[in-house]
Amino acid sequence: MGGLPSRVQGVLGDTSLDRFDAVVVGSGAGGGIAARVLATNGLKVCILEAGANYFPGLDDPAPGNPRPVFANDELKLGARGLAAQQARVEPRTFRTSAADGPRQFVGEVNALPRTVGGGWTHADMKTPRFAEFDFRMRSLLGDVPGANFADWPLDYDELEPFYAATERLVGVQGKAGADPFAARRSGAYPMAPGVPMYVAEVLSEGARRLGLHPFPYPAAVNSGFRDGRPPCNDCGFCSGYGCPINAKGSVAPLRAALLSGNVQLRTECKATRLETDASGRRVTSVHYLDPAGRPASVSGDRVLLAANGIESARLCLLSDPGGAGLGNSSGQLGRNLMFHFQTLAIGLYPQSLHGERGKSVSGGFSDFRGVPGDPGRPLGGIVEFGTNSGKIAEAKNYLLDVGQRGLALKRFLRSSPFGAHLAVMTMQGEDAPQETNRIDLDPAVRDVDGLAVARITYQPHAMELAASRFYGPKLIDLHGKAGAQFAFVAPRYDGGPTPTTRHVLGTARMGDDPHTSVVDRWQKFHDLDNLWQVDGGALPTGSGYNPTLTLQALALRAAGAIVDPLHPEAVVEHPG
Amino acid sequence: MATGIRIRRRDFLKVAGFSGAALWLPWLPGCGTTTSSGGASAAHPVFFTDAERATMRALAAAIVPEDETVGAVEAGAVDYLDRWLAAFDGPRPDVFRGGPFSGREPWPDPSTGAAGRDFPDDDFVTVLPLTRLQELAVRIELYGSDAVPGGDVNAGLVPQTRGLRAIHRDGVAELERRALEREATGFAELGEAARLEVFAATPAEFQQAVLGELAEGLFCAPEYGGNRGARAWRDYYWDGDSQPLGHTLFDPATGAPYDRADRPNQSRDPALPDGGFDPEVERFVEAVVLGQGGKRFF
Repeated sequence: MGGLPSRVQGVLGDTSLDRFDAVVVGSGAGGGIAARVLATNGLKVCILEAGANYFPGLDDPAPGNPRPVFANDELKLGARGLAAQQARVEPRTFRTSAADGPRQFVGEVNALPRTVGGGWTHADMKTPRFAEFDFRMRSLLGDVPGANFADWPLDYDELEPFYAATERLVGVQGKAGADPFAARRSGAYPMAPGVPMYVAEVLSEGARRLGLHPFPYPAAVNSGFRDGRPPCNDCGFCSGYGCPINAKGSVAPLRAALLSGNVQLRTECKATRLETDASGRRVTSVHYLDPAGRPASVSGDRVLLAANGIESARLCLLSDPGGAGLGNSSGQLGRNLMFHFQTLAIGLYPQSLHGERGKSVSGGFSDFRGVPGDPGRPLGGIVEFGTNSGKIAEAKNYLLDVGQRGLALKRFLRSSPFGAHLAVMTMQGEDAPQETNRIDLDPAVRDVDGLAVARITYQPHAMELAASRFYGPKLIDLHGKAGAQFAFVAPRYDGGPTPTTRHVLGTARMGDDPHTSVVDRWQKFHDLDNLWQVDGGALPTGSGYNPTLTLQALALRAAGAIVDPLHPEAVVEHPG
Repeated sequence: MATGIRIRRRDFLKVAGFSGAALWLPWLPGCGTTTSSGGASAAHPVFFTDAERATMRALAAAIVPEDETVGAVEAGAVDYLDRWLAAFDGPRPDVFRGGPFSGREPWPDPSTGAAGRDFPDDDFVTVLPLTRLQELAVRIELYGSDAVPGGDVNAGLVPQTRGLRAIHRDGVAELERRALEREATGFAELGEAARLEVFAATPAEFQQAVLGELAEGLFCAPEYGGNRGARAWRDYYWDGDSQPLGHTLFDPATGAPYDRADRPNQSRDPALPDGGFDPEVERFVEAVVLGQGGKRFF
């Protein structure tokens, strides 16, 4: 019964569907919005999600739904990792290069949440657009030694309508014109900015004193009642937490997809292999482990991968045991793995900045994104104004890292230097794409189900290291202008430990040439007739902006083109 | 948890004017806690023997002593640990508590948007079911990788996980053994400095585990057994959970946001301590900052 709440354990949406026009692997930012386009245009969609659903009522049309079980509970979401990929059973491995041997580290590496809504549930929903120049970096930079820059097969103007549609579908707040470096917009933001945090006011003042241009950070968070969801009330448990009141747009497109009556969402189902027909050009079924760990499969006319840049590539590799990987005639699958090279500038202020109030980041500036080819303005990234938002994590810092005990510890707990008095600016520096930065299958390490785990091989390029060195001292100066007593840049990257960003990009780069790219301009695999990738893996370059709005706009466009190849923009906001 | 002086939402909606409540109705969830694993007063399975618990308390009191602000023992951090290690010993695994609300903060008043008199139920007294992979992961953490099917899949490649239960049982025994070597009758008889010295000689995995757990037991939501009465949040100026009121309030008539008077978000909070850092802390901070190539501005 379409649109009615599920009555089958772990399955949401229409539980009676058994023939599918599309199977979507992953219910996160890309998968959710792609499923919305397909389902509201009448296609029958099965979504496989490895994690559990923490949005009870997500498929119930009654007002007030869903009622999340997320909470202001640092133990549950932070320390114990309710929505996390659990490294004890599903580890990854890491090394900086092949010279390190098979691996240096086994454990948690760049893991995104495993839950309905994916990483878009734990995010604090920052949604800047990329700049116009981000779409033609190869042309602008030329041949950069050791890097593998590419122009995108589309330009900003082609993506702009899909940016605008995505902003409406997930509900973005922001102020047009506030960022002088922002790309052209065809219209205003759907919502005005919410209230700024005190720490953002402090840092914005410091930025203005340096002649920089701070602005309210665009975010897919309600600032007023919209789309059946309340405004954010700044509880503070935002980045790293699901929203207890569903003010974030994390699952707004997914809910619309479910309410169309054309979707069945199977939770706790972990995809393990794509099976192809004799020609090797058509995926005939997706094999998975059901909630009890039993093998199962589902078939559909087409398959959309949205498991994130690491897991989607892993699935293609697992699907071709002993071979190069499904869809990898180019040899580029899994390569050009990009994160954002984050430069953290930490300031310690005499006054309490009470970072536990507010949505983690409410302001920032783009002056340090840079200009391609201008050595005086190297390519860094957008800078976020943030602060501390975890008391257990802060206490662990004093006990485990600072090593304090007894009454000395008590002075740290009361003074709270790395808590209440902490302001952090994070520059999301662009990573140069490199063929040698990649994911492949670890030759020996397995997950608890016996499947080869993803191995990440990564080291930064000189480009982002130089940008970090260039902008780091300026960020320290900004803290000084804002009234900090102390400031430093930390941790300075020294080849380890593993990068911690959750921005996982590249690995299935999009392009027109099947010899140098994995998916085409519509994100269909060159090598297959019915397989698409609609997560961050498709991005040819990573820009210096938070990537989720862009990967969603691309997923929207790709799904729109499946429905109507000639007029994708006309179908992507179909109400269903 | 609702008490007699708090009006329950169900009652409140009967008397509230519809126009005032309407703005909030779309997201006011249905009230009533569906299932409960027991409130704060209910008995919970525990791990330690009485003697082990006394040893752990003596250790916790040395690491986070009570002075003008709450210490680990007084906050219930050892009780928290005792329950965590026994997470699978009750009728349902007690790992993740429910949500979204704790009942410690009220709903907004529909007529003003400020704190109302109506509190949600405490969803944190419920427990969430574990997925297959979550259960395997937590069982490995508590019981060790060789005690869980498939947990030893990478034996020979990576060090196997020793279970927290064994780590604590052995760690406590070692504290007592080392105390006897110091000719004390028991670990608890040692002075605080000696207890810390003995602790520093125990295996690193025990030290790491205990230190992390004390932080969790100090500042977790009280439903997990620690942070008794949420005193640690108050003593160390941490707001704790704030839903469903939050820190930004909304004028019901206009929708305009405004700050809570008692916990401002947008501006400096005069109620929070502002006197700079403790001198010892400041010396440490300065050494860290300058060691990282940073700056001291004043």
